[in-house]
Amino acid sequence: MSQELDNRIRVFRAEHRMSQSDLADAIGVTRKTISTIEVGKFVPSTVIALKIARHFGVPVEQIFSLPDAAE
Amino acid sequence: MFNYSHLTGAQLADRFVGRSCGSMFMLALAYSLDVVGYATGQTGFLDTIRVALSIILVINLLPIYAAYISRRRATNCSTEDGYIVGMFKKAVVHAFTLNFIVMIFLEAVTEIYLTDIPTKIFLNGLLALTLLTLSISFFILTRDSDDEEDDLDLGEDA
Repeated sequence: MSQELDNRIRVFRAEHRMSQSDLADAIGVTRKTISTIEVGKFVPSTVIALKIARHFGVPVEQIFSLPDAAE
Repeated sequence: MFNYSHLTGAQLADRFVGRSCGSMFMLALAYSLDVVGYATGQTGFLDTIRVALSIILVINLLPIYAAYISRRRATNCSTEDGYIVGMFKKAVVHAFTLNFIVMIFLEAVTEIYLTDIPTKIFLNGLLALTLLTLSISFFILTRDSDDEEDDLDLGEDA
């Protein structure tokens, strides 16, 4: 996971029974973009983060968060 | 080969950026040949290679550029936020930084040495270096970006 931004996309995908490709198609990016965000290799733009949150119907903070300072 | 209708807008944008970097690599080679031609005194053979590279470049880039532009006009899709485009922007920063350092270095060096080299050769050399840095940086940055296949066996998720 990235040092810059934690995310719970994988959890939400599992809850919604979605593949990376499904999510990518739904928000208009490639599967590579989703997979690199999930593993913390790529920090998404605000627009992509908001699109993902809107797709799952939750506030963006439920999906993305800053790592705890203690970690 | 030139049918991109099966690709989504985002996939098309990624492929366009990848192709552009491939074309930049070829363009860098073409500019390099100019410098090599000056250094070796050979021009005829190198000019032929340069023309061949230019033709390959156009064939490589023009169809996907046309497809990308027409898709953007038709769907008004925004594709600037993806991973590949992000890595391209990083590669541009690397290339610009190196270009700037080399220019400052050359500015100092040419006060004393290399005074009789034509400006055109300097410019072509700099362009070759910048395009080469950009394309190689991009390929390194995106080299192992294709992570493991997607799965939904998520029993261990936290």
